[in-house]
Amino acid sequence: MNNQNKMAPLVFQASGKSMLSRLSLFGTVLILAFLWARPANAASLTLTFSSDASGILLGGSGTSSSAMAFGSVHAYGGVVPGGVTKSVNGTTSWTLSTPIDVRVTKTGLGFSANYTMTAQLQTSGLAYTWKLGAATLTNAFPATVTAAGAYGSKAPYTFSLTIPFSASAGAVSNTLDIIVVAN
Amino acid sequence: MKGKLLAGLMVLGLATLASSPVFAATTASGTVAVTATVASSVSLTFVTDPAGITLGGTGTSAATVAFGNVQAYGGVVPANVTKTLNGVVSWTLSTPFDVVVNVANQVSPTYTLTAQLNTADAVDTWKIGATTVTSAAAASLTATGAYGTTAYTLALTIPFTKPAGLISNTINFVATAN
Repeated sequence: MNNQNKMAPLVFQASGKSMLSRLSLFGTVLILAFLWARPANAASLTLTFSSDASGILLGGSGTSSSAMAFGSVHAYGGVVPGGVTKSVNGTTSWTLSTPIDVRVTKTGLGFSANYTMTAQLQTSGLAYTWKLGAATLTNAFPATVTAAGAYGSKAPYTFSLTIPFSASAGAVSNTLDIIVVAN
Repeated sequence: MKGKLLAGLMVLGLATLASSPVFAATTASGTVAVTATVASSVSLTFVTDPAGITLGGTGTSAATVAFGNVQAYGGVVPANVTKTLNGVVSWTLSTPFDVVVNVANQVSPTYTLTAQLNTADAVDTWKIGATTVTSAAAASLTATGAYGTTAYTLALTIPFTKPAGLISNTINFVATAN
């Protein structure tokens, strides 16, 4: 009897081509399964504006297309709408300001911790200064209002419109385009 | 051949995945339409003049001037008030005060300022600057006032014949943009 242990080298043999094929097949199946399991419309955001308890009453409150009507306003005297603050800035300008609530909700974006919100005027408002929060708005480019907005809750942002004394009396009209992007 | 097919499938899968909405920026948008009608306006306020009596409600459009207890001869004259005896006929208390007029959202080079007593006073004489103010009609203080701060002097002349007692009245000022 031969009790001598036989040593044999442990050899792994695999064809490079075969390994690549198996990996490719596995990867493809995985990706297709992933896509199959996730409908294209699963990830979404909703943006709505609503009247703040301390602010002006918005038209279309609770929707993504609201309206803010200050009515007839004067630098000196006159009537200030409810929820609106008027401040006279020396002898150069005056400002109307009011908070509005912004609510952003997410669906299928578990990985998104917060959102970025930008705002831009639809038309030039150079004679006046438009602000949302600390951001000054123009029609040239979107201004960042927040880079880390919290989902779910109503966040108040103060809108302000500053009117120079030198501006002519008359109608002021513009629209703020607001975009939120999941971070 | 089989390997190429699988590799192609994998590339296709990755391309599909990369273009999937799962990896696209998820956004939402909305609009806020803002409207206002700006009306022109004029501001009129009264401010204590550095050389005048201290106004109650300085910086507002409803100020008060309180001379306190005064008498033709002797007594105490309030700070920054000048007392003048007009022979043996009457005596006058006078003090400067500032009128501040501003305009907004209107092209206006100057303003007109008028003053009128609220109630008739047939005994005492009330003057703003050189203009006598009565309750009968609004007296013009200036037709070309410059916007900003202007000092005016209020003078109240009391005849010696008037019995001692309280004097009280209100002067209504109106500033109109030209």
